[in-house]
Amino acid sequence: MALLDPYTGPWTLDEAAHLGRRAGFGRRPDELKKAVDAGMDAAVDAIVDYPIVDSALDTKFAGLPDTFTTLRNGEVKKNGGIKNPFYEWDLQNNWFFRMIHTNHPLQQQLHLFFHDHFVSDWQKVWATITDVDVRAPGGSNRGALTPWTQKIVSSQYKLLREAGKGPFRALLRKITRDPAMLIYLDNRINTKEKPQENFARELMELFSMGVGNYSEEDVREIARAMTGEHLNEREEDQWPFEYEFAADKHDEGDKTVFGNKVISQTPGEEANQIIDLILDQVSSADISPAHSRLPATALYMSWKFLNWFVLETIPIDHPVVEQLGEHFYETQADGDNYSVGELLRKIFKSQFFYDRAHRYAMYKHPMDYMIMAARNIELNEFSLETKWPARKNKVPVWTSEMGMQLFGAPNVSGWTHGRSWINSGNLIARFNLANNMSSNYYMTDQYCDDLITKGHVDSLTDTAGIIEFFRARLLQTDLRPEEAAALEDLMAAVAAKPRQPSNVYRSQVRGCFHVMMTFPRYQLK
Amino acid sequence: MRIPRRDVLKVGISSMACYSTLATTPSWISNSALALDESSDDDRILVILQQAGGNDGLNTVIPYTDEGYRDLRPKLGVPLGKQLTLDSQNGFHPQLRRLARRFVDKGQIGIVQNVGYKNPNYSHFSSMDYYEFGMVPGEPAPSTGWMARYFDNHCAGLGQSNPLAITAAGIPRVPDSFKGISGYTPPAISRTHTYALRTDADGDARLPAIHAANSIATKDPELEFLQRSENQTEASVKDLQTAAAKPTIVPEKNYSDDTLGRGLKLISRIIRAGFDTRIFYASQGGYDTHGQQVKLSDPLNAGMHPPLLGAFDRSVDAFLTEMELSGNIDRVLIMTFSEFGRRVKENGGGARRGTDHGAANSFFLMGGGVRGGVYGGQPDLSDLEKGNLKYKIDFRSVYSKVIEGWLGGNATSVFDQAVYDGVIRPQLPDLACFTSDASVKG
Repeated sequence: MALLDPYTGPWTLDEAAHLGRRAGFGRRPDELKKAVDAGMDAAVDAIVDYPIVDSALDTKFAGLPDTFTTLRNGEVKKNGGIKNPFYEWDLQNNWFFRMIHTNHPLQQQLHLFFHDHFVSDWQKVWATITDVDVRAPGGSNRGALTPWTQKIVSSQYKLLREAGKGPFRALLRKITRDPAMLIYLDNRINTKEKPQENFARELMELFSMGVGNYSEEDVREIARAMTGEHLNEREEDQWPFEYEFAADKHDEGDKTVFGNKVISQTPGEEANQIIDLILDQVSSADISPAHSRLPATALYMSWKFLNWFVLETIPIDHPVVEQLGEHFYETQADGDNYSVGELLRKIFKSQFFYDRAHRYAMYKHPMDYMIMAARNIELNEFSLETKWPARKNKVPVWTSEMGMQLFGAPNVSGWTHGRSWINSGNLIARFNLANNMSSNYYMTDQYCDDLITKGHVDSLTDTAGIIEFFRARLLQTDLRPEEAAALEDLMAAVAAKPRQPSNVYRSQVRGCFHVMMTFPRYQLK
Repeated sequence: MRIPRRDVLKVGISSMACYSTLATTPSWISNSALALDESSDDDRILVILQQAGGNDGLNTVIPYTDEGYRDLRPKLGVPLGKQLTLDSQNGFHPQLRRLARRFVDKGQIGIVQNVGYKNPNYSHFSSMDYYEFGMVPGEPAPSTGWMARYFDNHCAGLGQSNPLAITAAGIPRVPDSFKGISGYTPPAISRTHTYALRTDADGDARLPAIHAANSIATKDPELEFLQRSENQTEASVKDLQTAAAKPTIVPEKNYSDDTLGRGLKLISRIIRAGFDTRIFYASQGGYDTHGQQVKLSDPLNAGMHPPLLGAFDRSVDAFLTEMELSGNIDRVLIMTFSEFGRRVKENGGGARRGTDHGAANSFFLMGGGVRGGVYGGQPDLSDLEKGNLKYKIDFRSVYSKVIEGWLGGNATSVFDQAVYDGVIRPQLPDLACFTSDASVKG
């Protein structure tokens, strides 16, 4: 297990900061110092062993206006519209707040991973529900979620946050019967008369095994086994839109998958049997001959985790995928193999993870870009605690312009990472987000002045102190000489303007933040 | 033949179809001259139009005389008599009424039927990869998109001077077809009005600092990529402001309010502002309709698919109208593609019907230089493979026809010689879909 052997090299601020950027959204200097003092093993364990419920965060939520935190049934007006509706960006704001204020950053980063992995676009849920729910509002409330859509989308949001680091088998079972997924990939209308292959295909291609490990025949047979895995949407007084097994829609014939494995006459259990078979199905030798002794899902999921947490360009036939796949398949935790938490622990303690070539070698996705800044410089106004609901749809629009609209991935395969995050439009959106964060709306006079009060900056003329404050929290690496020169020129140009010294200082703080957020290395993690 | 109005600028122009004086002139100087022209010279433009999700070709181009069509699609299919008749066998879906007029009255639309590839893959992502990278199952995967290879071979250097040399419009991403162009990051312009670097304060101090920090000599490939992208972004912002100042000719609302409408509206502006952009990419999503394709209460208008075709019809027609009114129609070609067609037999129950992923499909070629008609033969609904249409035309043959017949390039610099000789070349005679082929310029 050479590549995944425990890391034994130096354990300094640099290594702790690397861990912080990957296993969360970056950490502040005080947090990094604690991690260094604790040592690598304990620092990783402290990150991985988070409790599922973030009680400190829940307390913070309790202090917020309920429009921000609570699902609600808006009053339906006579014209069919909804008064005080719940919008999809309400849910996004809720998640931004969680990411900025959580004490369990790995839980949030892992949640993003699974949100990208088990895609279920809210718009399809909304459109479908609007179609079947006669009480839903019409087009005039576009963006307003019906009560049922709120319930369905937020229940998947909670599922992925809470189930994330447990056994992958349990998560696959739950997501198969998750209402948003049943709608998004059409299994709610997969019947013995009219089978739908959509979910069966993506279950294998994207959610577990990866393409090349099953046949078109398997897709058809698994679609048959999944018939009747439906939602309760009968026309009664209550339409709970909860999972139900519709025995009369289920195809009871034998299904033959993976060449010779037969499933027969176990209505209601066949989805679970299929998932068990998938998890044990050995990888095709065409993918990588060396890997064909291991299950395809262990390899494919290990590869996806490595691509999210270590390097976007690791090929599936890389030896580290094989080593991690074996660990993932064989390590028992919580009464099952396929423990996501133990997989992450293995990664974050490995030599491979701390390889110098892997630092600043990944592109920040838009949440990394935004959340790391908000968390590390403690820009609390940005987290909507006090400004809600004045600008409630602003940040969701900005993140969407950066290319990452939560609950609205471009398609079922999720977002494309790496260099794909960078194009002219997305770069403009990143830089303009930084500009917005630096505006006096969020980066208030009080915020700027507090940097001095709190001792981060010595005085109104301490430009080096301003630069160092942001460097340690954003770049976390040395400035290149030209970058230092660009910042010094910026400080001088701002100082040359005829303003009060306190306003010169505040403009320097805001400008320094905005400009540093455009540095190439802030786009990397 | 029109006389190019920009001869005065054409000193030393290369013979390559997409090369221009801009390669040697800084863009901010050339643009002011270019922006004078409403119509431009006869250098040809290609707009690649992606229909993402797998468009149902059989409910787009209706084989209305084929009994098998109604047998397999009793509720989903367009009923006999409702199609917009194009010829003795084919009709458009009723949502395509503007394009049907263009087909019949103007002969501006070529339909290539039965386009696909061997051993089709029914995964969106694998199949889209084949179409964007220009390979088929069993062949080694190229690391660059098919259009990137064309661009690198025929337009090398253009991106250094023209930041809008090849542009994705209406979408926030650079498509894989453009992936891997050397030394150039194509712009992706989602919305015109947000495409500018903003500063709340001290723009005169911050913008130079941003530029300086992104212009540092480096050997690190990622830092180099990021800095180059930033520099090219700054330049493209300047150019886009020029283009955005061009008003639309048709009412703005004639374009649909989606990625396709926004994209085509912007492409029209860039063309009419006189920029030397030869390759554009626009995209319309949502075609993965599955069981929600049509609602039986009103199957020609309701469900997911009819409104998509309606938006397609409106936006393409608005774009072609602007090209006509600005004198650019004869130099513009739109080529559509989708990752696959859909299953021939309908599925779904209750109040709606739909289709699963399929295989062979129709491409549209649209513009003033197209020889209108139907190419590639009729789809054979009596000879299916796993319930799907078999392909007769490899999609790379259509790409090659466009590269050679439209752009005047050389398809063997994009596709492997053996593939070209064995697969593509024999199919080209069936694809004589341009009124006059470009002379191959190298």
